[in-house]
Amino acid sequence: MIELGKKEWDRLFKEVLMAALRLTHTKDEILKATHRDRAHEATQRAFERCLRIRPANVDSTEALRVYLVKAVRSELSNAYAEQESRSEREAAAAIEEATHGRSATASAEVIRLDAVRAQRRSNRAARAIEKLRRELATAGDTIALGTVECIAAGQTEPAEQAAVLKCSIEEIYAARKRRKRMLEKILEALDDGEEDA
Amino acid sequence: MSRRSPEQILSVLEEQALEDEVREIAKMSDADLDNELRRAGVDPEAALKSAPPAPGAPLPVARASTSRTPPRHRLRRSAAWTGAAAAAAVLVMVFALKRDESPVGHGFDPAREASKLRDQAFAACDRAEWEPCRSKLDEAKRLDPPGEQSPGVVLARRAVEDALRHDGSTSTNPRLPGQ
Repeated sequence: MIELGKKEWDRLFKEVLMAALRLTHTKDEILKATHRDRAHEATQRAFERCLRIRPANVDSTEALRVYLVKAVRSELSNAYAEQESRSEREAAAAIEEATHGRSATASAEVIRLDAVRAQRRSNRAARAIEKLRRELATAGDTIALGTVECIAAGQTEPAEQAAVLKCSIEEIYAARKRRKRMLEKILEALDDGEEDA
Repeated sequence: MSRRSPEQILSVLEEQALEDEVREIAKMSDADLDNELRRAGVDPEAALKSAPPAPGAPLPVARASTSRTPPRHRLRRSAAWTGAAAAAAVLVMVFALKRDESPVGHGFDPAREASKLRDQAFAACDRAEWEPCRSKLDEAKRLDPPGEQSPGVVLARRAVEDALRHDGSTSTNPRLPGQ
């Protein structure tokens, strides 16, 4: 793993913390402090994980930055998943235990909950992508829409997308920004609707 | 090539969004990044205090300790020894005064020899030389068994036992803090 001086290391910590804060951003004033703490904790854990594992293939600052941000995302998703499923699993486990007694294997209730959650995730993605395609088409953003189609066809790199869409790589990056903003709004609306439902 | 599922597409989109985000943050100047953190409700300097040390960074300098004995034990032992030394000094003076009053005897006086040995033992204890301290006390005990009950000797014995027990060895001479 690449070795950094204290100054670079501190800068990297702040960058990763900033990314974590953006990942956990919420408009809900009541939840802001909790999300901030979660971002901070996830950043610390990501750095600790990096120091413990010392990934051999991380040989540049850019690679280290990407590794750490992905580690933060992983920490955050684990924290969310734990928080989200705890009450459901506890309820399911209580029913299962009352019915069948203790068991080492996953109970039918827990398996069913996992399946429901996977289905929910799949439906959410399908609705989001469908909506994104529709809105990009309505906005006439052919490059951004083209990047989505390229990804669907397995072309994820900006250079190959630029070749397919006959535009510059800079235009691909600019289109990604527009696409990102639109997707954020769509996901937010979908998640709000899910909570309201 | 088979087309990807919406879930896979969404995953790539989110991945790329994150990469773009990271790239954008990396382009920020130090001042901009600090301001952005403050806007998000985080004090950059305070946040850095929680950052793990950089790999290869020197460890924080800790004050070297010459004793493995926990501080509380060290304090207790030190206090016990101070009391023992004070009591011993009083006893020595009393013995000396009594001796001056009595007729001077010739030949071997076990009590006087024991007293000398105990003085040497106290001096050894004072230097935290616990083994010599104990052996001098043992010698004195053989010559003058009743003197073993004197407060100075009792406390000195206790200090020796404590010191040797906490340091887990009877073959070394642990040092008191500050020695």
